[in-house]
Amino acid sequence: MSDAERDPVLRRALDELRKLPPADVGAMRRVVNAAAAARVTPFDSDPGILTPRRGRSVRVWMVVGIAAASAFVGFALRGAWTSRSHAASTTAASGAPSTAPSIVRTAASTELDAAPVQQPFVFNNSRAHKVFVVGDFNRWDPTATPMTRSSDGELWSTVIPVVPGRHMYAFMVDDSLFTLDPNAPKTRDPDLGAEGSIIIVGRP
Amino acid sequence: MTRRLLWLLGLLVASSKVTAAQDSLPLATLDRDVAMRLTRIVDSAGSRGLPTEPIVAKISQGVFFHAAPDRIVVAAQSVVARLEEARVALAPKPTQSDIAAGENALGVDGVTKTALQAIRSTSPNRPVAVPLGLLAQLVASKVPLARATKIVTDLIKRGASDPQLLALGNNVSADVVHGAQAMASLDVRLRGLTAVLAPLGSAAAAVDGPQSAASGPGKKP
Repeated sequence: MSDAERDPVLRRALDELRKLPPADVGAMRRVVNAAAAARVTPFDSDPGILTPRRGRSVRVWMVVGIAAASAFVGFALRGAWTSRSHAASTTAASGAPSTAPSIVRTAASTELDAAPVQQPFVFNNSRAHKVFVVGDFNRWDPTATPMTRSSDGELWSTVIPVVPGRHMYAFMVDDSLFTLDPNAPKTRDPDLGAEGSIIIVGRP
Repeated sequence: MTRRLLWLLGLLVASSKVTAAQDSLPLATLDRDVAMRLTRIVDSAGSRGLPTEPIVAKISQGVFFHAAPDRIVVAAQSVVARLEEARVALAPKPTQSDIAAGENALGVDGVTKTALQAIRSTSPNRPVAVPLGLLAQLVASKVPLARATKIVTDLIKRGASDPQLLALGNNVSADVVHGAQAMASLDVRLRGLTAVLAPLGSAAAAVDGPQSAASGPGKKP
């Protein structure tokens, strides 16, 4: 019998963790952003930090770390959800008037409204060999979000999580051709002067 | 065993934190001095409770477009200033996405802190990222700020949902892309939307013009 099986607390925790839903990309992103925001290590103490892209071993640690952190977040959210559900059902069963459910609902819906939305992007170009979407939602990383070609070869599409709001984006065609979306309004960035397409994202 | 597991999980979280920090800024192409200045800007904003993602996104955009390093620094500082302004305008308890949306709106030429305050006071307890996105897009499409602000606040008062605001903004944008005037498109789209919304209070309806958000079925002749 392993240590985990002998320890009831650990066993219960592991059982709960096993029941978790699949890791959510949005949750991962929030965890990564929160971790980045909480950084306290001085930048200039480690010149190597200048390189944003790391080797494979660091990537593996990152994936494992994010997965673990996401599991914690999922565990915490699950606990909160369970307690909310319990509070709501208790109130309903007792029939006693209370403002608690509406407060809970407001907090939950606020959280939900700010969560990333699965946003489709579509681009029409039959001659391209590869297309990526770039924008503020993926930090203008030209390799982060590849698009998939349709079976007829005309359309490129992808669906990615984007937080609600107004976003600037464009398409990178064959690694080098920066192309605006012909079906979206254009704008000029107020700080850098660069042009981009605009989309307003929200919960459908 | 429990201690060992906790230690391992702590190590995993710590490693993800360090890696996230390494990946958070696209500084590889910038010289050390600029990279340090940008990192301080991001860290300082984060320590003051401002969302850092818009700043990182702006820096990334600058790197992507090969902007001059000093210009990237100024751009990052401008984003921080707008984030601060948005947080004040959207007080008392704006969410991080509210502040980010406010910053984005303030980046559109003509949008003011007062307009953000008007939207917040109309919708004090709900996220305003979508209403602010609509406001910004209307103003960017050459709708005068006062009119755009009134349209958005009236729609919120009449109970328009985020999807309805979203549809209005994207429909007007699509019309403009296909050659329509923003004002003309807005009038048509608003008629369709206001027809399905609850009537606005008589005071606001009386102030409104015939083509405004209040020109739905609830408006008195």
